[in-house]
Amino acid sequence: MIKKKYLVIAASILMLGAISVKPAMAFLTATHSTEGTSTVHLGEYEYEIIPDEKYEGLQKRITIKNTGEMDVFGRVKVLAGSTHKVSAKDEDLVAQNWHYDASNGYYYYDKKLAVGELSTELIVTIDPNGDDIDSFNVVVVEEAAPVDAGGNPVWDGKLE
Amino acid sequence: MMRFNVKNPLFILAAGLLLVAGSAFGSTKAEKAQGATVESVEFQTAKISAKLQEKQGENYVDVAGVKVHEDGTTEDFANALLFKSLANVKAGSELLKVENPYEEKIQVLNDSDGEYPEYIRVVVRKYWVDEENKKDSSLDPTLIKLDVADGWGAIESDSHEEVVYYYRNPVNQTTEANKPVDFVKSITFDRRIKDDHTTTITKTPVEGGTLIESTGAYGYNGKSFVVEMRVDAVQAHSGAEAMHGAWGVEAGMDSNGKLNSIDGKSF
Repeated sequence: MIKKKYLVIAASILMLGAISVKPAMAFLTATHSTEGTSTVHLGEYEYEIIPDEKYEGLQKRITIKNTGEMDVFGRVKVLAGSTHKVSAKDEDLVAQNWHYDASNGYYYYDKKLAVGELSTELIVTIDPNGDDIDSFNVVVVEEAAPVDAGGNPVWDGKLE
Repeated sequence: MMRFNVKNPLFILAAGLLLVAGSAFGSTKAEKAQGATVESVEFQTAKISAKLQEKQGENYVDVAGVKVHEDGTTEDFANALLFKSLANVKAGSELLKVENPYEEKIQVLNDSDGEYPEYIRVVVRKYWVDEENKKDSSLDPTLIKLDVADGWGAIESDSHEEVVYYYRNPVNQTTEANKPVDFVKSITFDRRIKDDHTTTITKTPVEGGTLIESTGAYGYNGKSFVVEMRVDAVQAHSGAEAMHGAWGVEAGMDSNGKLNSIDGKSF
């Protein structure tokens, strides 16, 4: 029994001894702080177009007008159902500054539309495909794209 | 042969006493040297110091450091970072240009009064804040890019909010001959800041066709950001130990004292 008591006392002295072995060291240090704040303004963007469509027989004449506040590029898709193909004559396209992109079916107006500007006509013809049509439903889809710093249209929607 | 019973209290007692006695050798002792005549000794603790300066207009202005008054007392000071080149963008009179470096020159100085070289690091935290100036963690701090001069190694935290820049060489006392160390050169905003935008398209039939209006709003428009900087300096003498003791980092350096890694991460 007594041995156990001495064991505890001895163990405590051992622990105290172990703790006191570590030497103390001080290093020279310095530290100072500051901070600052600012705000970013990215602006807003707005663009609009009015497409104008005229029918002349089996021909459709489409123009687009930029009624927004920013210069834009425009493109148009003409859909008339799977049985009636829509096409435009190459010479008409070139003469009127449009071109056709077969990969996505869009007609692109090649020139930048300044604010208030009206494009020249895109002339497309519907193929009646043997049917006797005096009227037909055509869907015209119009889109505008903003202009990037290089003067090119940004069609994927990301403004640079 | 006597069996050594470790549990024998006398053994433990002896070991304890030995340790206590031995600890006396680890500490510093001042002894009068034999043969030397020492009458009085003046002790002055060496002080090291470092400060940050930001170029505001034509001149560099102190933004963090210690001011020593004529009576010898010292006072910590902090002046705000101004980001002067962003003043027009902040006011809204100019729109932010992405990927455009806006000049922001910050330098560090070793303004110790003695010739003590130091290892210097700057802890930078950047974040966006809301209208009440509270941190907005939903906004991305990596969109704010600080372009740092050569000679610094960067350790970025996992959150990307904090980057610690270590100047890799010891910095000597700044004098006419020994110029301040360039730290930040410019601040740039990543092009991805414009990715956060919502476009609303409305179509209204009007005479002659359909009016298609697209209105866009940028998520970061009008948002404010904060950049915090803290400059830390330790003695260059026994630098690795000093950095470990003061900053809690393991510094790896070459034989010339040039830092190569912190906590195992190489620069």
